[in-house]
Amino acid sequence: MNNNRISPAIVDRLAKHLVALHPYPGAAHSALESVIARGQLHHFSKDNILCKEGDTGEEMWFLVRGSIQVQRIDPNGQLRVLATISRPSLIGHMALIDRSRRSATCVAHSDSDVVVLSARTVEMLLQETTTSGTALRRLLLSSLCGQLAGANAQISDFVKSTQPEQADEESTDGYESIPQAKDTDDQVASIVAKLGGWDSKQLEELEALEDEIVFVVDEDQKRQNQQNPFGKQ
Amino acid sequence: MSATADLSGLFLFRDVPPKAVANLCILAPPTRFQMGSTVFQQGSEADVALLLVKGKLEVEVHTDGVGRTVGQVHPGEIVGEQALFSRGGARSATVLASEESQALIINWDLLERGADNPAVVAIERHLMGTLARRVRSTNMAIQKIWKESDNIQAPIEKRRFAERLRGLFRGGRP
Repeated sequence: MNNNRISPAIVDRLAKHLVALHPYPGAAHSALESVIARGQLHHFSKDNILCKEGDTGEEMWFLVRGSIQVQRIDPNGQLRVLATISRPSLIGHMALIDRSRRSATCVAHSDSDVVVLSARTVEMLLQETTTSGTALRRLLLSSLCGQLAGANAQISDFVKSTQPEQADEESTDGYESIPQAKDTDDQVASIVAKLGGWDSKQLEELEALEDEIVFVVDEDQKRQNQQNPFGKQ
Repeated sequence: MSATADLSGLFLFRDVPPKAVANLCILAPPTRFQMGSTVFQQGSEADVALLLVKGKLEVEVHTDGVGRTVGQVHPGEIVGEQALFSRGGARSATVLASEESQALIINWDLLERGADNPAVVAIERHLMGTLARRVRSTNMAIQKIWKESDNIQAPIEKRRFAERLRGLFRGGRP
């Protein structure tokens, strides 16, 4: 891995690509340029690892050139490729937003250049009321919305693949993001037939997932609000 | 209690100077919702998000004319946030005020006019956290479904499984 300062040409090109990819209202090329300029350009040769599943999040990346493969080891020990990402994508930002551990391993699928933003830089920017801070927050928000829409689409595709005659699902938006089946009982029966069934432990896990998906409650926040209703120590 | 005090009591504004919260109230005074009134209507255009300040909201999904409650919204929580970045979509659930409630309406006008207000920064960061949790939980559901669709050998418990799936795909519990 080599470290370099970023040339103005790369900063300009990446900012333009990101604005085109995430055209939220007020998206400002110059503000994104100032965000990118706070990073460093790194090169990863093919098969080099950017981060490993379970690592703490120390940085995020903007992919400038090449491609990155997102991998995970499933419970059966099998390596699964979740996605192959091409430029100009954001990578690794989730762990910086919610301070969770890396949920997957990212490997350079080909020789790749990335702009690296450290967790410290990201945290500083996210707190700022500057145009740079605003640009990064909204870029991340837009990216997260895109990720959520993509995930919803995958669930929708799966549901449709089990019931091809039910092609027209209602649109979704976040909270209410789970596809709505027109004839859920038939649909479930079809999926059950296809999958065969889960054991008790798996069902409990799925039930826990439903709690997260459906109620979308930040338990920590709710608890702290209840314990500390005035929000001050 | 004043609207500023209500907002200042929310956890997401814990580190925000009171003056910034007061300015937020001037920019976007909280909207009152009578108990039983509709906040969002399933199928209607989705163009704003909402931060609940006081009260309680209930989320209902209607399928084939049958409504089911799938969740509740408590003070400090945001609902409908994807509308801000996914223009042209429709609400896929109805949100009702189950108590007398107050909420901050979050739209692009507020985000733009309040861009230099730390309270708006706090809202944007809260939005990020909310979305990140949803992305993670949805991804977990996908991986679970795909994994099981590839490798099912466990004993069949069709009834419970069907109930769980029905809940998942309908957006709530059966």
